[in-house]
Amino acid sequence: MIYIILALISFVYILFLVPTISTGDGAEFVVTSFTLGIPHPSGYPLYVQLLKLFSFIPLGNVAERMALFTVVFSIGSLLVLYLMVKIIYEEKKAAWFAVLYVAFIYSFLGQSVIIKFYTFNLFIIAVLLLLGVFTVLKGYDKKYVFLSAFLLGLSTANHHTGLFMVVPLFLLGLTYGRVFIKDFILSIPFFLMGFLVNIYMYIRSSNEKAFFFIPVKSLEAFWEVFLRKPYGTASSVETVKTGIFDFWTILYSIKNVIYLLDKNFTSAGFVLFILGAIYLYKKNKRLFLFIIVSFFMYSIFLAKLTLSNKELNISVLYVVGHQYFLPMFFLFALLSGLGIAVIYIFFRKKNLSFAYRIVPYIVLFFPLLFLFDRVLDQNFGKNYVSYSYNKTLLSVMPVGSFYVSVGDNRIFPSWYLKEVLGFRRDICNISEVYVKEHQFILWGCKPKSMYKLLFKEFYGGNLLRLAEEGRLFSSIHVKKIEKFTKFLDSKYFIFQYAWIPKDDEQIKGKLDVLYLQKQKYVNMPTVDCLMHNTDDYYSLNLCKFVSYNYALLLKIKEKTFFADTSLSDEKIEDIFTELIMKNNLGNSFYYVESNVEN
Amino acid sequence: MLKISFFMLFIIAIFFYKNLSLQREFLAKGNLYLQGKDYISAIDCYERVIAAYTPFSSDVKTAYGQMKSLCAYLSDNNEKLYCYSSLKAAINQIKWLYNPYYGDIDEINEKIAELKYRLFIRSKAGIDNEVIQNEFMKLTKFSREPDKFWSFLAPVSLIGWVGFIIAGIWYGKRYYILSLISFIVWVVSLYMA
Repeated sequence: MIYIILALISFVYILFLVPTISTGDGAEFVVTSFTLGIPHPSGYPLYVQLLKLFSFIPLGNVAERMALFTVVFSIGSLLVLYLMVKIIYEEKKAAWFAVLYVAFIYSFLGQSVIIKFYTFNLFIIAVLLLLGVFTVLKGYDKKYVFLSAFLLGLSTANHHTGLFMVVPLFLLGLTYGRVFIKDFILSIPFFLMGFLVNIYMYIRSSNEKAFFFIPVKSLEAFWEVFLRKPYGTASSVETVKTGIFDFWTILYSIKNVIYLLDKNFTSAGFVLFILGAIYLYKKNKRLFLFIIVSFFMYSIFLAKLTLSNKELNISVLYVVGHQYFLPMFFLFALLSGLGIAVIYIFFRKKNLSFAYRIVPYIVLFFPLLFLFDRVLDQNFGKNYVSYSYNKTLLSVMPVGSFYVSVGDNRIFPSWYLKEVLGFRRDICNISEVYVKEHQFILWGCKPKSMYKLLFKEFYGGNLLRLAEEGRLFSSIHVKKIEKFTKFLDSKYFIFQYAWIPKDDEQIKGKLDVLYLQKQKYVNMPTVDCLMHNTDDYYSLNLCKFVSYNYALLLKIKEKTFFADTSLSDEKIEDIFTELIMKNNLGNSFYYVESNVEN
Repeated sequence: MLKISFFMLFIIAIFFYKNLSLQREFLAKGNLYLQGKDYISAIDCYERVIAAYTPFSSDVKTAYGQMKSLCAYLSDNNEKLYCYSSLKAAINQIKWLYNPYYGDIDEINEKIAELKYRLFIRSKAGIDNEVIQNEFMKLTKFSREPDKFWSFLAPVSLIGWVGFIIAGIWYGKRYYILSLISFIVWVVSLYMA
């Protein structure tokens, strides 16, 4: 029966699977995996290499195959969940419920159908949890200690939240006394063996064809990438250093955790969770300690580090709440499954044979109700927005254009199009990572030898010349970069801005003509924006510019938009920004917002 | 192990079915756009048919043929460039150990480079036209794809290394020798890829 349930879940996941690059980091992982390069810190070398293997599947396209990786490890995690519930309470039917209960919740399904490493991370954590359960129920064995150490070492080559499992595993081990201490010391070489996967970053950095977010050519560079130092306060070390014992942030963390659980599982889950926790405590205190400490690490502790805001906004919820907490959802489902197992055991002990036979099957339909919502919010099966939007963005620029982009949803897909697909490699794409600090990174303009001649203006320090020729574009308004505002101005173009010389009416006229000529490229992104079937925050963000495009098109063609011909481009930008804000489509798109600063 | 293998086959089967249905959907849409002379949208749809690749698919073959014909038919250089670039993108998306339709890539690259040269706004600093043409050809042909054999062997040997260490922990020290061999193969593969 579990294989039938997993087959049903797999069927849904694959139908909902993104058919090409997904929004967010997805495209970056495809590029770095395809070229066996290095993505953003901490590098994720284990994930990148395994993704590469999936690129050799002879079905679909390279991005879709890599998305399939996410599905496989999501299903793997669910199988481990089933095993855990079954082993603890020997109630298969409760284990079925636990699996279904988590499989179709918003965040779990949402993370299972895109290109991201969180389900793979969850799989490693799930196996570590299973080893802990085996230790308690089957008896202490040093093999579990060595294996856990090795997996923890491997987890350093994926997402560092895997290391949170050190705490519950170590505490569990301590309950076995001296024998554990000895095995713990002997397990250190296994941890280091797992950690060795990270040397991938150093080895591959010597290859000039691979694509790197940051190459690792020295030990210093390795630690910079591994510890996520470019992210400042969000680096691995700084995040842990934040005030652990601040009362209010702990309170907000608890509030936010409850919010996430309620939104995903509904309030009914809390009853089962508490029931499962109480009976687990009664059954086996050691196991209870292990499971509850694990839950604490991936709920309140993790929230304290990453989700301790007093007020939650859509941006934080989507980037943090929707991604980091899969292990918490897994453990919540585990305890809920144990809670329902207690009810089934009660039926069995009281000889309520009818209830014992029928209720477990009826209860399985409850989690399936979540699917009705998932069809409308996490069905990425037709979501081509990231691909078609960015393909159009590159296509409408004249040959040999220079493009300054900001934000993952414009930087990473352009890398995929250019570096993997070889599409419009004539566009020199540099990224401004920190707009206020004006740090340009020439990721999409390498190797330098190939671009130096075609973009000698840029390499000669003369951006104005590119602007005069109508070859300078950006995803941000020039007023965001103070030093350019003296000699450049922005004119909205399709999905981006053309940066033009200040007060140059001739180029404005040329761009209007080009704007009309290029409208034929806008149809597919428009259709994709109407049909994508998700509430994906990033897709909605990109699609905002599609509707905005039509408003400006009307203004150029008809001169009667809003029956006021005096409306400037900037005024229309303000009107649209206000409309969009009212519709709650986001409030922090500073790198895409068209609202001009006064 | 047998159950897991059957289950993996089931996943592949659904994946196959999903791509087949995407092919049918976008081929129909592409043909409609073509009839309506919306060539850009037709190109996009045909590209999606190819991107939903399944081996020996007649829909993929049809879409590829339609795209190629359309690229030759179009007279506007911007549209031609878009078409050939999309065709190249489609071919590059579906590579695996074998590269379907890759026999045409040289011809497509030449057309792309030539179109880019014609459309490029020349700088008044007077760069030689032939130099510009060569630059576009170099850019168009450049590829970051690592060597197929070594880039396939690298993750396989990594899995081998991890598997043999786990086997060594579980079943005994004799597996550690195999893990060492896998590790060496892995390191060499990463250098060679």
